[in-house]
Order: sequence, then structure tokens, then C-alpha cells
Amino acid sequence: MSLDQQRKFWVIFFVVIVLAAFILPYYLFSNLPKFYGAFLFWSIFAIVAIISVGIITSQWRE
Amino acid sequence: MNATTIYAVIILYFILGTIVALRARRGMGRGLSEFFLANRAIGGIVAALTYSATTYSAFMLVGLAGLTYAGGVGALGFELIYLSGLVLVAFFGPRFWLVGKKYNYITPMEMLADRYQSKLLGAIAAIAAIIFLIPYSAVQLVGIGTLMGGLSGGAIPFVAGLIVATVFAVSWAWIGGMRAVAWTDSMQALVMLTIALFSVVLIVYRGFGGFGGLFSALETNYPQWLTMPGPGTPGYFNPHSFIGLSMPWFFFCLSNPQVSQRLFIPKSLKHMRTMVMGFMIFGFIYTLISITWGFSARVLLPGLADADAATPSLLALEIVPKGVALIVMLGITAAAISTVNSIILTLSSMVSRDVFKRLKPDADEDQELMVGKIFVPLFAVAIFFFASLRLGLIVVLSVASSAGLLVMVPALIGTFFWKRGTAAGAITSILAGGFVAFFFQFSDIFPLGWWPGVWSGIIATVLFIVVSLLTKPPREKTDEFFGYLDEALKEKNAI
Repeated sequence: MSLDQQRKFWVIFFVVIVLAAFILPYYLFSNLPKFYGAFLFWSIFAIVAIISVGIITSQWRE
Repeated sequence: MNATTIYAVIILYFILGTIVALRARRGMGRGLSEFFLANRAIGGIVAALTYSATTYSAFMLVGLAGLTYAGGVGALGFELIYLSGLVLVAFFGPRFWLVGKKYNYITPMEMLADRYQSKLLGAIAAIAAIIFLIPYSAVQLVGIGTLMGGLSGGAIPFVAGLIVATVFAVSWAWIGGMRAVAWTDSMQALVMLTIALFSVVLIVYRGFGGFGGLFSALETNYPQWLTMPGPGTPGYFNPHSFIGLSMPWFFFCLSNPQVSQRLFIPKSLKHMRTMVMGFMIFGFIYTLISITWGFSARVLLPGLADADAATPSLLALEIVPKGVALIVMLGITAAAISTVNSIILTLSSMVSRDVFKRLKPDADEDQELMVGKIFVPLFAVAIFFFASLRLGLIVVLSVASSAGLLVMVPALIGTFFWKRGTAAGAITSILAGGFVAFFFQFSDIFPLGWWPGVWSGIIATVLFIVVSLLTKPPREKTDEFFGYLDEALKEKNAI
């Protein structure tokens, strides 16, 4: 994949996961008062974001 | 707790920080880049810690804990969406770093001014940042003054707390510029995280017998605090408030100059990677601690009238030893100071580079540096003055700061990704967007229910695009700027 294609892929990926982080909890966790509800969902979202940034930045050259 | 003990701990902490600042100053060269950016030679770990300490203020253990106390798990969503905004650094970080090095930019506003070929734009952006960040800093000092007063049972006057915080903030920045700030920030970041982690584990185990006990108490007694949109009708974190809070902060790594300036300081892209990853891991842990702190207060102190009193009230409980309460206060003070001194240093660099240099174009670097150094204590005094007045306006401006600074983002995106962007578009979007943010916040007007940050973001974006399309971009500079970046990004394999 060229740098351009990679950039497009990651932009779409991040737009999708950030929108999901904004919207999904209202539908999935409005009646789930548990640790494994919204609390776990957002924690996993943050871990996915951290790993994604790790993958992108690991390709940077000195 | 008696005032003497508190003062003794604070003096010891100040001595320790000053030793760190003086050691950091060793080997410090001359010039603007050295004083304000540590000569762009900060290693990855220190960069990560100063980024963390600058970003995370007293808001975390006081404001975010209070937000959790009042609204529940939505506070975690807000804060982790804010943290995920760091994905923007994956795109903008190498660009900032590369052009900063090539064109010797000291401030993000200087970069805007050069890219759009308008010194007026740089000055306007700098002044807008000053207007929003001084009240934001003042609120940090108010927090310290209130906390020290509360912990000492009123024995330490509010103003004494402010003076302590101001002296801390100005001393280390003045001693050694960015080097001293970065190293003392690193010390303070470690203090913040260690103390917060230790104290939250202590409270959870003493109060609930463990994390399982805390969550089962929440599930049984406060189930709404674990769901969205949270307690109340239409819910504390209804879509309007949740998006209104989260959206401006998602862009903080670009919109807040004291944070975006740190994209210029790593030694290399490898060190920038360490900075970003280190910050994200630090932020994730610190966020979970602050949220747990707020949940603990919810169960242990259910009847508080003021959610922001959750942390001080928690510290006053029997299960928290007095010594622990004292070090938590120190941790919160460290969080506030490390944010304020970074803001002071950044604002001073903007005055010298974006305002003074525009007023006196023939000024040499020594004169610019002198002006910058003079403004370090001047800004500290201004922040102290604002904080001591305790005006309602400070809170309005502080709350509006995220919405007000958001208006920088369209111009910053245009800097790297839109050749048609113009200075007129950037100036219009910053002025109109900033006015909207302040006016809506001050008047308490939320059109269609949406918060000022949403409106200022939309208005700034639309104006930037429309006005840019109606005016002429600086073709020669744009082509040269984009041409250099295309080549450099390929060489660095950065997307």
C-alpha cells in the first residue's frame, strides 16, 4: 500500500471507531448497569486507539 | 491537618523541583530555540512525561472525579475520547516536527503565519490563545488555593495557596526554560501517577474490599451511573452534553498551543513515537484512576450538594490516613503547576515571536529572548491576579477555552492538507469562531441544545472554507511548503 492509501485507510478507520465511541453506548448500554457495559466498551476503544497509533508510528523512519 | 506540616511538605517539594530545574539548566545554550524548545533535543521518555504533565491538570482528580460523581460512566467516555484525539498526532506529529526543524518555528502560531504568509494571522492567533489560556490557568490556581485552605481547615488562607502555586509555576520556567519545565514536569508526572495510583488502591480496598466490591456496590445502589446517558432526565450525559464536552477536547493536541508546541521538541521521530505512546499509556491509567476515585466518592459520600467537592470530601474520610490526604494534595498541586508553567512558557514564546517580532520586525534574537523571559513572570502575575479576583468571568472563559481554542483547528488542518487555504480564511474563522464561543458561553445560549464548542467548530470550519475560496492563497509559499513536506514524509515513511 502506498503512503496515500495507508493514510486513507487509517482516516476511515479512526472516523469509524470514534463515531462508534460517541454513538454506540447510547444503544448498547442504556440498560446494562454492569462493569462489562459502557466501562469496558470505552476501555477497549482506548486500547484499540493506542495499538493503532503504535502500528502507525512504528513505521516512521529515523 | 496543621498548616506547618503542609508548608513543610510544600517547601521540601519546591527545593526538590528547584534542584531538578537547576540540573536541567546545565549545558543550556543561548537563543530562543534553546530557551523555549530545549533546542529540539528532548528524549522520548522526558517528552512523554512533560506531555502528560502539561495535558493533565488538577481537573483530573478534582473535575473528572466530580463529573463521574455527578454523571457516571459517561465521564470515562468523554475522557477516553479526549485521549483518543492523540490519533491526530499520527498524522500531524511528523508534519509539525519536520517543518518546525526546517523553518525554525518556535510557536505553532508562527507556523500558521509563515504558511499563510500573514504575520497578522500569527498575532491574532497568539492573542486569542492568551485570552482563553490565562483564565484556564487561573482556575488551576484557584483549585490549589481552595484545596490547601480546605485541607488545613482554613489555617492556610486562599491567597497564600495562590502565592505558593504562582511561585512554583514561575520559578522553574524562569530558571531554565523548556529544559527545566520538561524535567520538572517529568518529576511531577511521576509524582501525580504514583500518588494517585497508591491512594485509589488504598481507598478501594479500605472502602470496598477491592474493585469487585466497588462495582457490585455501584451495580446494586447506583445502576444508572454505569449506563448511558446516566442519571437524571434527559440524562446527565445526554447526546448534547456528551458531544458538547467531548468534541472540542478531541482536538486538544492541535488546538492547545502549550501541547502542540511539544510536537517541535523531540530529538527525532523515534523519540516522538515514544512521546505519543508513553502519553497514551499514562493517560489511560490516570483516567481510570480518576474515574475510580469519582465512583468511590459516589458510593461512600452519596449526598454531596457540589460534585466538585467529591475529592476533598473523600480525603476527609476516616479511611484515608492524614498523611495520604497530604500527599494526594501534593499530587493535585503537581498536576496544576505542571500545566500552568507550561502554559506560561508557551504564552511567553508567543508574545516574543508572534506579537513583539511583528511590532518590531528588526529585533534580533537576543531582544526577542529578553521579551520572552520578561513575560514569564508577567504572565504569572496576570494569572495570580485573575485567580485572586475569583470572578465568575474566569470560570466562563475557562470553560469556553476548549471551544475557543477549537477555532484554530481548521486553519491548522489547512496548513498541511489544503492548498487553497488563505490567511483571510484563517483570520475570519479564528475571530468569528472565538467570538461565538465566548458569546454563547457568557450568555448561556445553546442554540438547538448544542453547546458552544459544537457551534464554534462548525462556524470556524465553514468560514475558513468559504472565505478561503473567495480569496487568493500564497501560491509560491504553498507550493514550496507542500513540496518539501511530500519529499520529507516519504523519506520518513510517515502517512
